[in-house]
Amino acid sequence: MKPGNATQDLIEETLQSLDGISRAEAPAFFYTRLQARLDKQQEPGASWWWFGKPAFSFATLALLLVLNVAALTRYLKKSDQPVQQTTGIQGFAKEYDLDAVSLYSEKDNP
Amino acid sequence: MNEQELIRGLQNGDATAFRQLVETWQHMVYNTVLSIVQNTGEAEDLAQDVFIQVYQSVAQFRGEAKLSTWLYRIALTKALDAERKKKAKKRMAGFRSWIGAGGEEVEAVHFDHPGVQLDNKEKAAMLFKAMTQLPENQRIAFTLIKSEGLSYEEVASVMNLGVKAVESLMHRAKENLRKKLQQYYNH
Repeated sequence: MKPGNATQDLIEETLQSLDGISRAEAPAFFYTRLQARLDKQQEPGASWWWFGKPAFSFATLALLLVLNVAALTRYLKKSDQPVQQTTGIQGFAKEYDLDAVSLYSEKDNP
Repeated sequence: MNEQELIRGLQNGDATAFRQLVETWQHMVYNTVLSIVQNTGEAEDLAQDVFIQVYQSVAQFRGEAKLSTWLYRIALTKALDAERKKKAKKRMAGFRSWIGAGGEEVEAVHFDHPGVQLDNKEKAAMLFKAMTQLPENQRIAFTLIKSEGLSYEEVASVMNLGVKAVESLMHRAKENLRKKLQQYYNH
């Protein structure tokens, strides 16, 4: 008998080693522990279980980031615009090329 | 309660119906999960997860499949999800070890299924180890047939496949297991 045949036989026996297997049984008090877990899930505080989840933290962080970027963008847009002249009388004089000194020149007044 | 009454009771939130569901199917669910994850503590947690999911989603169960088929599907999904997470963790630990960041690779633990006959314990442990290397569909088919004793027709129903497809999966599973066992025995 070739030595390789022994290994092949062992392999075939191994493949059949689950023949006649009986079902493993759930541990004692399985239902009791399951019910306790369900009761805990249904407690009032349990509805906040998602608060501590990493997905919630990441979503909150992403939202804060977006809000900050939006605020910063708005601020930068506003500061790019030129400052409008609001001084009324100087604006009027400049526009009509009026100069207060020339109006009251002694040379022109006899 | 027959199956229809049980489902109606579950959908109505009847505690008695839920208890009957658990008492009827707990060993089936536990054994299925255990045969995949090969750890008793983990199997108990996952088996509980299965029943919790049933409790939470029974309203959506339309009865197009048998209750047992639905339970098998949830049990297999939970067990294989857990396996994928463990494999991902092992890969990360291996990478960390490779770059010298700590984290040792953990070898598969010798698994002793409590239902295996005494004479077959050692060989069964080798077989369970080899089963962890099978592609998922082959692993499901092999586990349901060998560990749960389902027929090819029943497996086809659980996996939503034809019987021929299940036969093909079993054939390929055995071929892959032979190759793996050859490596183990020649090592």
